[in-house]
Amino acid sequence: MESFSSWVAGSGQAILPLIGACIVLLAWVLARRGSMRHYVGRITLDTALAVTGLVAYALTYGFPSMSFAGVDAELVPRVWAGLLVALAIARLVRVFRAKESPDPSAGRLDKVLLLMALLVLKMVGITWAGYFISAGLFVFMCGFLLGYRDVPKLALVAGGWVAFSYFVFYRLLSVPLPTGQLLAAILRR
Amino acid sequence: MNNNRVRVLSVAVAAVLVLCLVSGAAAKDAFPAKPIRIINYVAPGGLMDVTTRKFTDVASKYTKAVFVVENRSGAGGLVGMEYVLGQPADGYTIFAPTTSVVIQVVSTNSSVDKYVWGFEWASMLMKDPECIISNRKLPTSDWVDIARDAKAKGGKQIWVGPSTGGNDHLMAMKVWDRAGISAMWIPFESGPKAMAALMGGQGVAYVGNPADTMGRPDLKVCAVSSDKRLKQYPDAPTFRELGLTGLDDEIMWRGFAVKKGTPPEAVAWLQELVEKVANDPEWKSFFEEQAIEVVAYKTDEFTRFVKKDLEDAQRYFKQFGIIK
Amino acid sequence: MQGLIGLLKAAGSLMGLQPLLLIAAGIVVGIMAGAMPGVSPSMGVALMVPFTYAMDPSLALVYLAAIYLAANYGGSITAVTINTPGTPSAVVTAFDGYPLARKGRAGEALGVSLVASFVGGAVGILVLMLFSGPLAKVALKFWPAEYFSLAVLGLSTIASMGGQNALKSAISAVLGLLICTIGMDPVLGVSRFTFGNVNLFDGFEFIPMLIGLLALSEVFVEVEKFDFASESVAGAEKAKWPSLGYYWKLRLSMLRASVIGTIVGIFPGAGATIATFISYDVEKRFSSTPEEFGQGMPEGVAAAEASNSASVGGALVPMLTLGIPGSATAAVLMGALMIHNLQPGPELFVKSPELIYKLFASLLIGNVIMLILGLAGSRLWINVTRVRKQILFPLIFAFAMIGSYAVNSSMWDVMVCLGFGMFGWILKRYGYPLPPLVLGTVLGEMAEVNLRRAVMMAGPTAIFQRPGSVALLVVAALSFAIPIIQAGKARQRA
Repeated sequence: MESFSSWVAGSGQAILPLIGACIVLLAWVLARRGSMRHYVGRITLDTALAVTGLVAYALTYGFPSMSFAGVDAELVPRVWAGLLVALAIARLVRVFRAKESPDPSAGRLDKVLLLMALLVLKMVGITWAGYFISAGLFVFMCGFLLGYRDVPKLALVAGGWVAFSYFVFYRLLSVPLPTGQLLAAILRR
Repeated sequence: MNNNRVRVLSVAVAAVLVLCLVSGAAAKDAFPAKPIRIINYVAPGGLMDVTTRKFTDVASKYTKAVFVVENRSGAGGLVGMEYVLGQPADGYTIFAPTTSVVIQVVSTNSSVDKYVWGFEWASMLMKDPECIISNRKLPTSDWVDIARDAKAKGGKQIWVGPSTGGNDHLMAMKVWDRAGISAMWIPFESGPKAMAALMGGQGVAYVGNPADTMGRPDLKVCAVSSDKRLKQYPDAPTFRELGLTGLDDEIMWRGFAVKKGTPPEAVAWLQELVEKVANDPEWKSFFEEQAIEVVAYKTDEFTRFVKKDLEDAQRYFKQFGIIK
Repeated sequence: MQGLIGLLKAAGSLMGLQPLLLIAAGIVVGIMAGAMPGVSPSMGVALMVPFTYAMDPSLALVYLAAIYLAANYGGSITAVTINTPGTPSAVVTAFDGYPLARKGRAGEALGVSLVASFVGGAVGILVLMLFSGPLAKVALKFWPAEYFSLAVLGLSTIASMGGQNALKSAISAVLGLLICTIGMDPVLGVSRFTFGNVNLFDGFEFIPMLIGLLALSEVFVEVEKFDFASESVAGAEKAKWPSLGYYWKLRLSMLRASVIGTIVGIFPGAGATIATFISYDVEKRFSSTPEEFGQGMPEGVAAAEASNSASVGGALVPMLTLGIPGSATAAVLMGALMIHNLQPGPELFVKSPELIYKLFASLLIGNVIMLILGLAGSRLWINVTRVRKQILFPLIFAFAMIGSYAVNSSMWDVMVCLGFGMFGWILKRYGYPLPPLVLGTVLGEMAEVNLRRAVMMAGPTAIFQRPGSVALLVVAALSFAIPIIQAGKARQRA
C-alpha cells in the first residue's frame, strides 16, 4: 500500500491519466465497429466520465496523508469520485440496454472545431502580438468564419471592440492587458 | 525619385533609432524612467492591498514616479511570486509580501530556493505584533483560563484562525509548545470569519494582531508578543508577564521585495523612498493607531527576519506533522 | 422614533446636488462593474477606493455603498443579453433571462431583473435598518454544522433541476463537486489533483469556469447548428416593455426571494449565489408550470435578481453589528472605512450614528436612482439582443476572454474558460444539464469544509448534534424527496 501511494504521488500522476485516455480511446474504437455504432458519442462520453472518476479515486491515494481529529483530505474527493463512477456506469448500462436515444446528429462540427482552433490561436497570439492586435483580428476572423461577409462593417466592429477594451478595461478598470512585444515599446514610453 | 525616398526613409529610421538610444541612455541614469508596478498577492481590499495603496498615496508626496498596483492573487502568494520572478529584474516590478507568503512556501513544500531566495528582500515596512485574542463573554477570557481549560480538555480545545500552515497557525504552535498545552486548530477562509466563530463561541482563542479587536468590543487581546505592553493596549499582558518565555518578538511583517539581480541603484531608490514614507506623519499615525511599529529596514535586516521565519516554520511544521 | 428622525435628517443632508451626483456616479460605476464579466462587485468597489481618499468619510461610504448595491444588479445585464453573467450571483439570472431574450422578450427579462433588483434591494435595506441587532445574533449561531446543512439544502435543489433526467443531472452535480476539490484542501492544506501546477493550487477560478460553461458552450451549440442565414433581423421590431400590472403579478416571487436573499446574505460563510439558487428552486416549486423554468420564465429572473440584491442589505448586517463582513464586497467596504480611520462595528452606532443613518438613507436613495438609471439604460442594453448572431458571437468570445483575464490578470484563467467552454459543449450535446454542475462548484467547498470543521470540533455525529442543523437537513431531505415521489406518481398514472 505504501509503495502504491508513493507511486501515485510520483510517476502515477502522469501514467494514470494516460491509461485513462487509452481506455477512452479504446472504447471509442470498439464502439464504432460494433452494433452500437449509433451510440458512439454517448458510450465514449460516459466511459470518459467513469474513467475520470476512477483515475481521480486512484489519485487520492497519492495525497500526503495527514489526518487529525477525524476527516482526512482524501475522504470527500473519494466520495464524489466513487459516486461519479457508479452513476456513469449506470448511464452506460442504460445505453447498452438501448433505453437511450441514439447520438444527436452532428451539425457543422467543422465550424465548431475551426472556431476552437481560432480561439487557441488567439491565446497564443496574445502572448507575442499583444492583446489588442490579436483580439481585433480574432473578432474579424470569427465573424467571417460564421459567414458574415460585410467586410467593412466587420472591420468596424473589430476596431470598436479594440477601442472598447482599451478604454474600459485597460484605462478605466486598469486591467493590465498584455501589450506584447510589439506594442510594449510604444505604449510604455 | 524612388532612390530618394529610400534615402529619406533610412535617414528617418536612423534618427528614430538614435533618439531611442539617447532616451534609453538617459533613462539609465535616472531611475525610474517608466511606471513602477507593485504586485500584490492578495485580492483588492486585502490587508497588503490596502497597505500598498496607502503607500503609493503617501509616496506621491515624495516622488514623481508613477506607481501601478496590480493584484495577482492565488495559492497564498505563490502565483504573485511566480509572476514577479518571470519579469525582468530591472526594479520596475516590485513584489509586496507579508510574513505569510514565506510561511506558505514552507507549508506547501514549495522550493525555498526559488520562491524565497529568488528575491532580494529590499525593504521592510512594518512590524505587527502577534497576539492571542479571546472572547470577553466566554468564561475563558484570560490566558490563565485558556491554559487551564486546555489542560482540562486534553487536546480538544479549539483555536480558530485563518488557513492551516499560515503564520497565525505557526504562532499558535509556538504558544502551545511554550505553554506545554495542546489544542486543535480549526481554519477558516479568512480572519474575520474565524473571528465570527470566536464571537459565536465555537472556539476559545484566535491568533492574530491587536488591531483585529478594533470595532469588535466582544474581543480582547489576552496575550501579546512584545517586550513591553503596547501603549495602545495597556490592559493586554505580554507573554513574558504570563510566564511564557521566548515569545517577545513574534511579529507579522509587511515589506517590498524585488527579483534577485535587480540593479543596486533601483533597490537604493526604493529603500530611500521607503525611508521618507516611514517618517511621514500620516503614514506613521495610520499604522501606529493599530499598534503597528513602522520601520524602514533594508536588505540585511529584512533578510534576517525572513531567515528566522523560515527556520521557525520548518521546525514547528515538522514537529506538528504539517510537513514531513 | 429617534431612528426615524435620524434617518430623515440624514436623507435631508443628502439632498444636495453633490451627494446626489455622487450616489448617481456610484450607481453608474456599479452597474458597469457588475456588467463587465471578470470585474466582480468587490473589485469594482476596491478600484474606486483610491478616488475616495480626498472625500469626506461619510460621502466616501455613500459612494462605495452605491457601487456595491448597483453591481449586483449590473451582473444581470450581460447575463440576460449575452448569457455571460457579469457576477457569480447573476448565473441564475441567465438560466431564464437569456432564453427570454432569445425569444424576443428581452424587454421583459431586463425589466423584471431591474424591478426585482429594486424590490430586493429595498427589502434588504429595510431589514438591515430594522432588525440588524437580532439577526446578528442568529448569524453567530450558525456553526459549521449549520453551514454544512445549508449547503446540503442547496444541493437538494438538483432534484427539481433535472426534470425527467435525474441521472444526468446527478452526474453533472457530482462532476461539479469533484471539480471543486481540485486545489489546496482548505482545512489541512493538502494539495489535491494539482499535479504540482501552481495555477491549480486554488482550484479553478470561478468566473472563467462559469463563463466557459454557460456562455461559450451555448455559442458552440449554436455554431454547430449554423443556421444564421434564416435569422430574422429583429432590429425592426419594437421592444415590448412590461406594464406595471405585469410586475404586480410577480410581487410574491420577488418578496419571497428578497426574504431568502436577505437571510442567506447575513451569514458570512454563505453568499448571494447560494441565495439565488435556493430562491430559484422555491419559485419553481410554487409555480404551476415548473417544467418551463430554464426555457424563459420571468419568475426565475425575478427570484434570482431579487435575492442577490437583497443579500446586499443582509451582508451589511454582520459588518455593522459585529465588525465581520458578510461578503467579499463588504470586506472591501470595511477596508475602505479603515483607510478613512473609521472602524466598522457596533461602536460605530455609538460613536457616529449620523454616519450610519447617512448610509441607510443613501442606500434607499441609491436604490431609487438605480431604478431610474436602469430604466434608461435598459433602452440601450436591449439593442444588444438585436445584433445579428454572426456579430454577437465573436463579441461574446471576446468578452468572455477579456473577462476571464481580468479576474487575476492571468492567461491561465483564459485557458480555463476555453477549456470549460469545450467541456460544457460536449456535455450539452449529449443532454447533460449544466446548472447542476455550476451548483456543485458553488456549494462543494462550503459543504466539504464545514463538514470537516464540524467533525473536527464535535466528532462524526456533529451535524446531528445541533437543532438548527437537523432542521435544515430535514428540509433538505423533504425538498429532495418530494419531486422524486411526485415524478414517480405521475409515471404510475401515465
